[in-house]
Amino acid sequence: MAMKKTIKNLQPARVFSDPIVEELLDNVPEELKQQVERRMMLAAKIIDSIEAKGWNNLRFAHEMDKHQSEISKWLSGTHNFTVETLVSIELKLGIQLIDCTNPYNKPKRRIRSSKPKPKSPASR
Amino acid sequence: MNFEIIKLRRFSGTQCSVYSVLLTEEGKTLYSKFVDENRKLFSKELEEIVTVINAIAHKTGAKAEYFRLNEGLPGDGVCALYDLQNSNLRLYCIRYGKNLIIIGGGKRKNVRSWQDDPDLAAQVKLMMKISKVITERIRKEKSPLDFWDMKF
Repeated sequence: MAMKKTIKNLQPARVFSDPIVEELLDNVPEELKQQVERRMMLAAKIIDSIEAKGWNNLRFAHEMDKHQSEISKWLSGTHNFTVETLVSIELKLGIQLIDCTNPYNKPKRRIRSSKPKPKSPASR
Repeated sequence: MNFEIIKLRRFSGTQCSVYSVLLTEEGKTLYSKFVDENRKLFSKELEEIVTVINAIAHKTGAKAEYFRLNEGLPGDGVCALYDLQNSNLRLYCIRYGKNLIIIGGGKRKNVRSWQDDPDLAAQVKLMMKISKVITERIRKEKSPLDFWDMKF
């Protein structure tokens, strides 16, 4: 009689290194990688915020006065948002998607002093 | 056809576990066959798709919105990764919530629905069959859904 397998007797799925996958992933240009990841994370933040408000996507579409098909594209992780759309979403959901106001992220500016530099001893 | 559900090492992330279907006789996964068949004509799309899967595994999880759901039978989890902009290259998957997906194969979709293209239909029907076999195994052996010993 065949013994019924118990969970103890089962092995987890094999971990498989697919060389074709590895090669493809290793050769993706960094710029493309960042673009794709940012689009998906943007969509993820919007999705999570919709859920946090207790809405579903249909309600969000209604709030944004858009067809649900357009919202589906927005949330698919493939959409290139305009700044105008991002600002509208920010206001509707009460979140921040574009962040250019953090002073700690400002690029450092070199400030030129108006006082002449003292001459070095070697040049005197 | 004998196959095995295997976990793809490179896509083993904290947000989602990514599996594929290893065809035992061929020694290749459905996903690597998909890449092989489309790399000449759709290299950029393939780069984007692999980056999407990598992001799902490591950054965001398999959010339902990233997929076209209900491509197969109701409740079987068969879906397609949302088409990239200006691309009709379709990759079919089985989604078990946001933490586990099985990626399969696919091809370019030039028709309104997959039923209208025999090759596309073959891909979807294969994923439907795999989903059914997995469900039966889990129900029969009461094993958890992380593919313990999934050789068929």
